[in-house]
Amino acid sequence: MRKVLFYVPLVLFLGLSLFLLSGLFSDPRERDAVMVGKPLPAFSLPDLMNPAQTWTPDALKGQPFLLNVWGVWCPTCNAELGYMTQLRNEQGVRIIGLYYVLPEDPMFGQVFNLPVLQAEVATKLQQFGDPYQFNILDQQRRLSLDLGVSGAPEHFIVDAEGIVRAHHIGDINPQVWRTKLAAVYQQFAGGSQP
Amino acid sequence: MNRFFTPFLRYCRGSAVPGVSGSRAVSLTSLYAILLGLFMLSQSQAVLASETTATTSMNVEQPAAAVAAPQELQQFDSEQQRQLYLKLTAELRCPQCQNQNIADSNAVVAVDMREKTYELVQQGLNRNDVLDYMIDRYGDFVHYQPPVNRVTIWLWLAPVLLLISLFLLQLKRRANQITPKETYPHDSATQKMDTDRDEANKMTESKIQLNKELDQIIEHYRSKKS
Repeated sequence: MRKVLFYVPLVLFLGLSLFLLSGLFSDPRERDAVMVGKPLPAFSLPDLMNPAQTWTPDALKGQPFLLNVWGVWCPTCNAELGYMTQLRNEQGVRIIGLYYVLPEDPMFGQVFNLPVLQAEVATKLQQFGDPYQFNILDQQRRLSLDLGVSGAPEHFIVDAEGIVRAHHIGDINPQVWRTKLAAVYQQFAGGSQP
Repeated sequence: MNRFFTPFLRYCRGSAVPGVSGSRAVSLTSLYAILLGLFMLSQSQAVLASETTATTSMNVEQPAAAVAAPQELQQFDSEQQRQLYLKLTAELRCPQCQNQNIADSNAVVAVDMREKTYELVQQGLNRNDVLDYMIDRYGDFVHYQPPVNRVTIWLWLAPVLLLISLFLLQLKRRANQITPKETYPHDSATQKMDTDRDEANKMTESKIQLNKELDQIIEHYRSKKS
């Protein structure tokens, strides 16, 4: 009995060390992927560059795509435009933008101005690269809320039937794409790839 | 078994226990256990209560500083709905600034979630409906009160198990201490101590046996005398 008790502190210490060690490698932004496996929530939103065009979940079906929540105000989003353009050109990844509009503060005379926004977006895309097939304008961020978006950038992989297959919070870089998203995308892109 | 529970029973009866320090240790452990239990119970309520107060004052003081200023001055149909809104925004967690509730955070997503909460409360949804709505989108993460399931049950069980095992350990030590002090060998090697103490116990037992026999003989002679 005494011999066993002698090792109790050591075992407790090792257990605690392992527990804390695993914490060093965990991502605090990581959340339960509640959207994965669910269909896209219902929406009807205009195209950013061509507001006459309206997008609904059905209009996006037919081919898997990467849905990228972004905004020109977000430096990380701008930084990943280059790599995503590369993904589009080299691997034929279909990328659709979900434009996340920051709320305007009328106290400071801010009002939503679509032409100004369109000009800003065009400038950024020219500067960093344009990976998008098109952009959906989510001015009230209702679709973003329904998707469980907490900020920009975030990414969803949606399959040809409109089912969300992956949710990535944060930017896409070569490592993230290779280790986390490429496999999921290839799995659902398999048949429709040229 | 008897040896194990004797100190506890004696302690409960309040009779004298040999080795004062030991009994004090037992009482301290149980006192600590009770205090910790009470503390844990009070904790969850206290946190929620303080956050609710914070929310009330925030909504009064800084509507102008909020991002979506006009929407922040919310009108409710009833005091009940106002209270529900304050309670919900206090216990929903902002997914962006992870250590703030949505009442406290001015992150865009927190503003949107406040607005949505207001909308849903105005529609007459109750607390669970609104929580489900948010958990459907942001996961269990978004509620400060974790659900009880196979993984999280240890949050409640672990402290209780720890306390019980500490208490049992303490009792066990008390049970060992009940053997007379002088028979303990002053030896540091634990293994040797174990065997030595067993021998010492045997000696004590034979002593007791001897005493009994002596008592019987004395009794025998006394009865003869009378």
